[in-house]
Amino acid sequence: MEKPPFDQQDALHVLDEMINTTRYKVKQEAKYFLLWGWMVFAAAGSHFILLQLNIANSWLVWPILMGLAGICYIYLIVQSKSNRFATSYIDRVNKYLWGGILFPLIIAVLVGGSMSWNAAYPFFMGIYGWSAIVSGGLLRFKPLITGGIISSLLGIVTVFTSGSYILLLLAFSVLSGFIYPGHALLRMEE
Amino acid sequence: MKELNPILHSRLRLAIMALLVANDEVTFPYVVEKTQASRGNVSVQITNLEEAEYLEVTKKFEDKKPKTILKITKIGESAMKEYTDALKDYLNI
Repeated sequence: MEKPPFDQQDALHVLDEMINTTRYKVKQEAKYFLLWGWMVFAAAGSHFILLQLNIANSWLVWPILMGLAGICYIYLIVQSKSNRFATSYIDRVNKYLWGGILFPLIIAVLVGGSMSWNAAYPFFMGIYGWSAIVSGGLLRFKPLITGGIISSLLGIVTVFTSGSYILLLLAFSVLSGFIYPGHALLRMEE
Repeated sequence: MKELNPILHSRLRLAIMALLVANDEVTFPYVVEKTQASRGNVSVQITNLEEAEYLEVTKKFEDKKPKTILKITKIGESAMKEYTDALKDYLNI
């Protein structure tokens, strides 16, 4: 049987179908938010508890858990790169956004180490709050935008807070900025 | 009314080019999966589009496996822009 000719309506249908088929799979982002979110939450929470128990060198939970998170992150990046069959504009923007965040985070760590950790925490919350807002806008995902705003506002509150309670604010900030949106991303596609 | 570019006005070639417009780069298996065409047919159409300089093909090895990567060229982008403009004229949209 002869195939019907390919007309303009068919062309429009092909364009629509191919563009829809390449829609960004937001679920692939969830694992990164959950990894960093739970690791920072665990570090801040355990640091707070250890301080209440007057345990020496309680800050060591940070390099241990962040080092572990870094190794897991590199593994996930390498794994996703080998499974990737297409690279979209959003992939590229996300790569530079979250890759570029490394530098302000290093600066915040240096400020914390050389001056005061209490002065550095608001910057951490502001930096990843801002990144969550940008990423949420890009993915058109409201929980991430809301989480980023809450995280940034908590960063402002932290400026006027002192003592170990800052760690609880930090834990709450990643709960709203990373953990809740991460689980919401997973649920959305199920 | 503008004439529709005959190189692009084909179901499979247009589908391949639409995938390339929507992505920075795609692999050969990705194109086969999304277009649901045979590997042979996709390969022939890619060669036609490459000859028209609408896309560029790069072959590399990743984890000791060959990987064919396709990217749209500037000429391909212009051709797709002209094609979609002409299509809009035809369909009055």
